[in-house]
Formats: sequence, C-alpha cells, structure tokens
Amino acid sequence: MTADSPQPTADSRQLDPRSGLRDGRRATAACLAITPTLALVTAIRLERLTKSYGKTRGITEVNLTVATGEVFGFLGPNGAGKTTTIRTLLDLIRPTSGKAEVLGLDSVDDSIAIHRRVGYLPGELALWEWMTTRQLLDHLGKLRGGIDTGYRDELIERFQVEPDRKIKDLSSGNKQKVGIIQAFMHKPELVILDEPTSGLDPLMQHATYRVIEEARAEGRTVFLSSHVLPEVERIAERVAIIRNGRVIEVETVDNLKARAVRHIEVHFGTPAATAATLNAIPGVTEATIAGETALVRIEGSMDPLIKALAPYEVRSLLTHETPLDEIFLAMYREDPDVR
Amino acid sequence: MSGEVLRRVVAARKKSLIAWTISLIALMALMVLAYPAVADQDVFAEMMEDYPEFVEQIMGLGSGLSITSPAGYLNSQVFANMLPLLIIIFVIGLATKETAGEERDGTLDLLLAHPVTRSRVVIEKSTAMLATGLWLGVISAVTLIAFGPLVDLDVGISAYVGATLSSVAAGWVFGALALALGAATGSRAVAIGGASGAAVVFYVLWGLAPLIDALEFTNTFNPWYWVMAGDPILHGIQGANLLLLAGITGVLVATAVWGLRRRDLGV
Repeated sequence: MTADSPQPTADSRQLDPRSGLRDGRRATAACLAITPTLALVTAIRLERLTKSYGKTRGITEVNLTVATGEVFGFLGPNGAGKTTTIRTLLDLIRPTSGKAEVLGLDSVDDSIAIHRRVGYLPGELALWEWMTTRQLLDHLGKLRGGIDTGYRDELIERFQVEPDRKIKDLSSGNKQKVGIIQAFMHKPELVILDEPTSGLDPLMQHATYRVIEEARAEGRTVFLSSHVLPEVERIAERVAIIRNGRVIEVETVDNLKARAVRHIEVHFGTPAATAATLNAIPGVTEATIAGETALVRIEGSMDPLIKALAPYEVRSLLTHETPLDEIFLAMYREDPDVR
Repeated sequence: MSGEVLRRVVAARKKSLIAWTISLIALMALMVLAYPAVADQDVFAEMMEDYPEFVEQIMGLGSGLSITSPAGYLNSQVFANMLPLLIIIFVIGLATKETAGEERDGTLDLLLAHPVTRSRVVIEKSTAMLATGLWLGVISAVTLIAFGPLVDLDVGISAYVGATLSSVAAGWVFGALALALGAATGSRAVAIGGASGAAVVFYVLWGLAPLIDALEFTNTFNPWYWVMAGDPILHGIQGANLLLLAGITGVLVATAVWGLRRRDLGV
C-alpha cells in the first residue's frame, strides 16, 4: 500500500456527470470504483469510545473525527488518556464500549488491514536493543512484506542516524529518531505518533515537523499526541484537548490561538504606564506593576496592548508561552461540567 | 514476511546458542570420556544399591539398569536428568523472554502494530522454541555418538535417537507451558516460576510414584513419566509417548495463542 491510494485516482476524475448520464452502466461502474475513496474521507472516527481500568485511568465516551489529509493534534497533560486512545486505535488494547474506526475499518475486527496502512510511533518507544538500526528497519519492513527502501534511506540521511550502530549504543534522542523513521518509511496513509518529539533536540524536532509537513502535502493523514501546545500549534490544523479521559474541546488551531492566554512582562522606562491604564486595554485580564516591571495577562491578540504601549518608554518586552494548564483553566471557566 | 519473527527470535540468541552448543558438546564429550572410570567398576553398582530407591528412579535406573552398563550410564548421567533439564532451562528462558519479556520491554507494542496477527507471532515464537530445543538435543546426541567409540560406549543409533527425542519432548512441554503462561498473563514471574516449578514438581512426583502407591495415579498426567516410559535408552524411539508429549505441547501452544489474542497488552 502506498501513499497514492487515498488520493483521487484517474477513475474518480473521470466522473464527469455528463458522460455518466449518457451511459448508465459506466456511471455505476465509476461509482463503485469511487466508493472506497469516499470511505476514506474519514481517517479516524471514535464513537463514544470508552476504556476503563478502574477508577482513575482510561477514557470515557470519546467522540472524535479526523479527516483524511489532516494533521491533527491530540493535546493533553500526561496521564489524560492520549496513549490509551492511541493504543485502542491499533488494537493493542480493546474498547470497554463504543467503537473506533481507522481508515473506515473497525479497530478490532480489521486490525491487520489497518496496520498495513498505518505507521505508528509508540509513546514509550522500545526497540530490539541488540539490532543495528539497519537490521531493525529491515525487520520492520519485512513484517510489512517488504517496502520501497528509497524513502527509508532518505530519512536515515536526513535524521543523521548511523545505520550500522547497535540500538543499545544510541542515545534516547537517536532511538526516538529511529522510531520516527520506522513510522514514516513505508509512506503510510495514516501516521499515528505518540509524543513524537520528546527527547529530540530542536534541530531534529524541526526535521520531524518537515516530515509531517511532507506527509500532509502528499495527502496523508497525521495524528499526533503532545503535551505541549506550541508544538501542536505549529504543525496541526485542528486539535482535540483531552483531560481526565474526556475530550473537552475540539478546535482549529487558529481559534485556539485567538483564545490563548499569554503572560507578558513589560519593563518600563519613563514615562511608565499605570496598572489602571493597562487593565483598561481590551484583552488584558490582569495587570500588576512592581517597580518598573509590569506583568500583564492577555487573551487573544496582542495588538491592542502593543498599540496602547506606544506613548510609553518600553525597555523590553518578554512573552511567556502559555502553559497548557492555563488553557485548561480558561476552559474550565467556560465549561463548568468539566472536572 | 513469513518467518520473519521466527528469524528474529533465533537471531537474537545467536551468541547464546553458540555458547550453549559449545558447552553441550564439551559436557557430552566429558560424560563419554568419563565412562571408563565407571565401566566394569562393580563398586559403583554396589554403591547404587545402597542408595534409596528414589535416587535410583530419578537417575533413570528404575527398570533395573546397571550404572556400569552403557545404557544405564547414559540414562543416569544424561537422558534422565541433565539433558532434559538443560533443554528445559533454555526453552523456558526463551519462551518467557519472548512473551511476557517482550511485552514488558515494550517491543511487543511495536511488533503488533505491524500487519502480523497475534496468532502468527505466538506460532513463530513457538516454532523458535521447538527448533532451538531440538537443536540442543541433536548436537548432544551427535557428540555422544561421535565420542562413544573411543571408550566403547554405544547403545545403538535407535536408542540414542529415542532417548534424545524424549529429552527434547520434555523441553517442548515445559517450554510450551512457559509460552502459554507468559502469553496469557504477561508476567515473567508467572511464566518462569510456573513452568520451572511444574518441571520440578513433576520430576519429584515421577521419582516418588513407583515408591508410594497413592502417587501412582499421577503418572497418567506426568510428562516426565511419558518422557521416560518404555525406556527409550533400551528400546529406541517411543512413538506413542512422543506423540502424546507433542500433543500436550500443541495444546499449550494453542493456549498461548488464545491467551494473547483475548486480552489487552500491557506496557
């Protein structure tokens, strides 16, 4: 199975309505040919998916739809249920109730067909330590019935992995790179990545983002979990936020950014703004001044703040990335049902 | 992709298999070369008579074999204890590592996210267990047969093959038990403890059964009894017994398949 399969084929493009109307039989045949493509519009569909393990862990009635061709972020703090959801998609664990469909196939009944078309990076990656990277990638390729090694070798090069070193001699960052390569090397229709950039240096994080971007450009789907917002903001188009086993929000990244809360530190010279002035600026929810430094909490666009600061002497301006908790806190205020 | 998991399981043990092979060859050669020290020394036969019947039984001399005869010597030194126990140790280790071990290490998650069924994974790993167990038996037998003529130790090819296959079958049964326990529970402790515990308990029962009437019924379901029954060291290949042991192995492998298919994988 290669990357081209989910893309519209020549057959589906031939579905010219006029020619179809003239020849009913051909139209039927063309419709049949396009059916599998239509089924693939949804890469992942979770319906009231529940997995319970006692009281605290697990996931509860998760509903989620990921379209094909999307880069979808699955955001939540550690222990929220991200890995549980992902392992259910791959039939490593089975739902207590509800169902999961991957590429239109049932996660339990059609797991092998799903595995054939999916690439997976486990959250706690474990590899056969005695193998070399090359042996490991060969082994996994053979489990797929043999793969085209061209892209694999390109990825080895790009991630600067030494293919003939034993896995046990690699740093955890290098092991992670091998994990990423194996998830992408066969150009799967859907790539499921559980915390892909954990342990990677910024350069290799960037290389990972590029591979994800390439997959998206080829019409493939990427589903990735993360516990850091900036990463998801950067590469995903839509995000689901999970907390305590429940999806509490599904939102486009753009909307999420608009609502994001930022903490800004302003160092004033003379003249300096007063707390009252700052608090009056649209979007500012809290402002305090201590000496020459103001701490401002702002929601959404920073534009009104910047414009309002123009008359004052601003020596420096520091923005702090929003901790995930702040986003959750903002959501709890909006949704009292969320614990 | 057929056999890829089997290949990996064996390749992972290349060094260990080489070490075991060399050690077994050395050990078997030593056993053979020590025979002249026992042969024709009636003092050993007399000594055995002073031992309790239990010792005689677990030394494979229960059917009245003399320790100074080739068959008695080989049974008491190799086929009634050491060879099956060594094979059992190796295959239980492999079976545990490849089921519960791989699950705890986390590599099973990666493996089973690939297009291979859980049944296939278990069956290929079982095949690796059966094949390595057989290999350890074969090289032992070949060493015994090769060195025997040097010291006039020979029981005939059919006795060598029969006794070796029985030892291998003992390994298969307890190796398959470790596979079943490891696959069904995901616990290394249960797999190693359960399988080696069962091997020891059945071994002791087999030693005691001829002496205690109340225990005689246990022979029916004691793998060790069927390993030793019919005295393969005297009468060659015991086809029916081997089939029974292979059947038990098959049932345990099927249990391992069922055990892994039915449950959630741990991390």
